[in-house]
Amino acid sequence: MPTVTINFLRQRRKQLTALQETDKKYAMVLGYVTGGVVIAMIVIFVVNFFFRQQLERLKAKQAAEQNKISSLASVEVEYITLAQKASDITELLKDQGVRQKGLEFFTTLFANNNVTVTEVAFLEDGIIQFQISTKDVFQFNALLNQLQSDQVLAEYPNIAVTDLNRGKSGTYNAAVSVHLAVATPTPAAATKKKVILDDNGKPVE
Amino acid sequence: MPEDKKKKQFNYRYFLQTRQYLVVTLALAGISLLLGILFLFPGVGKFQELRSEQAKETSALNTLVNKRQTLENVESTNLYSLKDRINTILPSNKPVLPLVREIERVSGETGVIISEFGVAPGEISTVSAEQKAQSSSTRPRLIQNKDYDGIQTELVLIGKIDSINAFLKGLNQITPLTQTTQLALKSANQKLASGSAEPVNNVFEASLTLTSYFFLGQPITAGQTLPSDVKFDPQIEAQISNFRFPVASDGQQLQIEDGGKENLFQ
Repeated sequence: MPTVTINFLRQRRKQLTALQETDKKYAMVLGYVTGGVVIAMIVIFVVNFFFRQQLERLKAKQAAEQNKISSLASVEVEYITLAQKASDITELLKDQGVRQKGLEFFTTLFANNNVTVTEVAFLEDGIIQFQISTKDVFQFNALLNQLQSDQVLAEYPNIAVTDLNRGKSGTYNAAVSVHLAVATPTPAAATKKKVILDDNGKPVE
Repeated sequence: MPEDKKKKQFNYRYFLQTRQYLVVTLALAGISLLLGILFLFPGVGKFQELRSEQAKETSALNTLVNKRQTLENVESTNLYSLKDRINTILPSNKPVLPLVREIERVSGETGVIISEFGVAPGEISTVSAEQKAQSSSTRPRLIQNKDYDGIQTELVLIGKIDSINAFLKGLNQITPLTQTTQLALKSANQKLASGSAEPVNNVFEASLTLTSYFFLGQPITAGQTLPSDVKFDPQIEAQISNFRFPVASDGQQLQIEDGGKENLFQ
């Protein structure tokens, strides 16, 4: 026969009390957690409200600044235009000094050798090209010697003579390309115009 | 048998009475989870969103404040101090008359003779009509894809090589900004009584094509960022200082000069 405990209620009560104590602890912990969640919610709500107010103030300030800037619109247009012009002037003047020096040097050299320059073109990569014409081979030879002299090569070491051809009346024509010390092409290079002169020096139509 | 069935059914009342704290625990857990999902996590996301928006708007406000301060103090910028020079070097309209005047002045100073002169300014109109037409894409332009365009001038000079070189150098100093884009050089011929021509010693004939630049401009939109103050490269600044800027009253006739006669038709 199994043993029957008469005082089973006491034991049952004891078990239940232990369970209730555990439940109480969990309830307390969860109570703190829920309280923390509620407090965090309130804090987030207040902070967000503060940020929204700040944003509205910022936008109001931006609108005020924008109004002031709008009243200075003519000054703004003038200033931006000046900046654009300054940039364009820098671009146009960048290589002008070097080009001018090269042009002066070689026009003087050709003039001193009685060489006719039929065309000057400013090409890309800082090259200036002269289409020249000499009255005979001796003059052309003299010009070549000049171009290869130490004095000229010291200033302009990169000179190329190409497209040599002989005219009907014994003139010698060639293209002299000089590499100037510039980095950028000039916008005017697009306006190159070819002029062909006949033996009397008049442009051929 | 029916008594066994009753024992197997869950006794809610007994559970609520004996395990009320467990019920409270579960309820609190459910409430925390609900509050977290519905309010706390979205609130944190909103907070981050508002913070980044505030940083963005603060940066935009600072940009506007800097722009406004720059515009209010524009007269103290280096760019504004060079305003007159810049507008003379690269004017916003076609500078035909100043160009002709300057070429004439340089030729006089260098001693070259201009035997032929031609300028093709294109259409000339009021400043506002000019600017409106220049922004049209169908308008023919000398220079493409830039915010400036050019007027072409063709001239034939006669003079010694030094004078011609001095003229070319002088052209670099006139306003509006002018560059030599084409050059042809040959000995000048003197016509003899016999009808033939012979070269004159040391005198040359130069055929020049010049391009003089003027500003077209680009449309300026509202809210465009202001460029920072421009300081020219020392080399460029030196070239700008070499330009000869015409004085306002220089060569301008301000009143009728009648030579002292009352009746101009006598």
